[in-house]
Amino acid sequence: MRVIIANTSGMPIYEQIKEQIKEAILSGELCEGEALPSIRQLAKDLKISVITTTRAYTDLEQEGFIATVQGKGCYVLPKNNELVREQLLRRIEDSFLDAINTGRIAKLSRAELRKMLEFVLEENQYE
Amino acid sequence: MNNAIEITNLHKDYKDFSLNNISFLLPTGYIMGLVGQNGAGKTTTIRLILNMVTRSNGNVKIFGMDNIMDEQAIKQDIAAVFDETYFVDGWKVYEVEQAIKSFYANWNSTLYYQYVKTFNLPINKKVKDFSRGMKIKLMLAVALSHNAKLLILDEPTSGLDPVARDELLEILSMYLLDGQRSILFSTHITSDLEKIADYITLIDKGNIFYTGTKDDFLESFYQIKGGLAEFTEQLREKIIGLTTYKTGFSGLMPALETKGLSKNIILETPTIDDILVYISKERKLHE
Amino acid sequence: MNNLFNAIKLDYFILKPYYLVVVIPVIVAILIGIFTSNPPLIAMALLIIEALFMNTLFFIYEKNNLNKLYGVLPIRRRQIVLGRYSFTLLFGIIAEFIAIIFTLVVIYTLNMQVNTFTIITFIYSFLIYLIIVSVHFPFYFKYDYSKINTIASLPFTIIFIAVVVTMIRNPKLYNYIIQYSIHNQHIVWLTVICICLILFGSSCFLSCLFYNKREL
Repeated sequence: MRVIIANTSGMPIYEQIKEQIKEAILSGELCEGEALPSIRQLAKDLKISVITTTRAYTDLEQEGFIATVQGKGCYVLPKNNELVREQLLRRIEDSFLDAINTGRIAKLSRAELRKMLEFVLEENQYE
Repeated sequence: MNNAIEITNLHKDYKDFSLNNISFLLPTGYIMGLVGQNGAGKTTTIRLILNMVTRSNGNVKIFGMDNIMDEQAIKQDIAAVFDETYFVDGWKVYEVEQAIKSFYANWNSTLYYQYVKTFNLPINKKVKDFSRGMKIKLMLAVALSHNAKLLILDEPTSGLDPVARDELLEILSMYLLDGQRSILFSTHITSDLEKIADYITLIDKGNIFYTGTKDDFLESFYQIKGGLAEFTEQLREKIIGLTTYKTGFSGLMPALETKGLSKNIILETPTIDDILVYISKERKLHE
Repeated sequence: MNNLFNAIKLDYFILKPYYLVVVIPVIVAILIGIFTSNPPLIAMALLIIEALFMNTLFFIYEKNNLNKLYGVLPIRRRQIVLGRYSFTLLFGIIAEFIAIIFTLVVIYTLNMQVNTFTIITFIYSFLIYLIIVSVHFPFYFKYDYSKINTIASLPFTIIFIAVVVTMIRNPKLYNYIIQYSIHNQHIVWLTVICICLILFGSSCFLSCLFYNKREL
């Protein structure tokens, strides 16, 4: 699992942690049932506050990515989760929004945009 | 008992300085940075916690017990590191132990000598021949050898080189790992705390400016910079420690007030040092 | 009181690196005894010098920030004071033994006699030790060593020099005091010992009051 804090990025540290863990889970790098480092161990390793890592883990738990077992630690939840799916859908929407905004700047028409999407789908053999 | 330290309305009067009814909490298992300028009242607060000076008013509870009534019991589980050693400078490492160990019910000799070894403390030299870093490590070795649940550090890093400072922070991180022990770390070198502090209490001229989590603290303020064109009188009121110069202005702004500002104004996350400097500037503006 | 014993032990360790404070006066005292051909003066000199040097404990306290050590250790202030007085008492007793031994050694070496005079000097020297310490200590418990040192020591240094010089010049005066004590033994002993003990006890009590209030 890769969690690295970039001090100069505008993103708050707890968010950076969240995103990187999420990424690892969504990409399959972190498997279902795998144990995450404890809140305190992660804080120590990254040299940050325990409260920050707690916040990241709490958010991840709320969003349905991980679960805490009392006395044992935090574990990755299975990906076929409603909330995880929601996350992924939201991500797709965000990416589409980006594309749309850029399309506006480039003054592309709706049809042209759609054509581009089809083209990319075709190229990447999306089923 | 959920709080390692519980201070309520602590007040102390001196001739030319007062600690004004300060209150803060340190929950068990966390590290709190006590920050502020020199002379702000950090050392006084620590002295009051250790009952080295008598308070004029207020309450100090350590592990849920009153720090005066249960002083001896509490001190079994407290350890302190100051910026100067408090050992006789003619002592060697074994004499430090011999002189002190019988005071502590939980003294662990093996652990002490383990730390002496890990910290590379010279066994045959007297304390007066120790380097500054070694002196701090010796106090730390003693502090860690009787199972203390609260570690109090008063300016331990001033005078230490960056490598030694990093080593110290590593030791403190390990200390906190089990979640049962707490640290109060008073310093004016805030870069150390920037990373590992969970809570921050900022004391300014005897008053508490802020107490709470470090994350909230840093998120409560933005460093604001902009050109003179963007400067408004409204801003002047809201900015803390405002400085204006030919090419623009800068200051500190509470995060809540930063909505709807011109896009040309730059907002940055401040460091603890930045905040300290700005509130000091603000105070000078009003003096 | 477990902590009392710990406090005494601590004072021992505090003084330990400064062992010369013990060794040198012994040598000086012996030399005084030999060169004045008055061996009992060994006890007098040693006990008086050591009484004056007991303030070394406070000197070290200030020099090495022991106030912070005491602030951190689980010990009450009263126990620190009692510990110091107990240590000083023990130290005086041990010094007295050393003085007695060396006095006897010198007496036999110089082919002199042990008499009542010798024994009375032994007892008086210990009492003077108690008196000096009793008067000194409350000052040091109330004020910082560096601030009070010259003031506290001055009267004693003057008196000490005056007494030694007087005794050396007027051995008759010394003998008179001894003679009087011999003839009115019981009353004198009782009174003097009582006064010293009361003085020592009051001093301890006063020091406790002072140190309890002191800001460390």
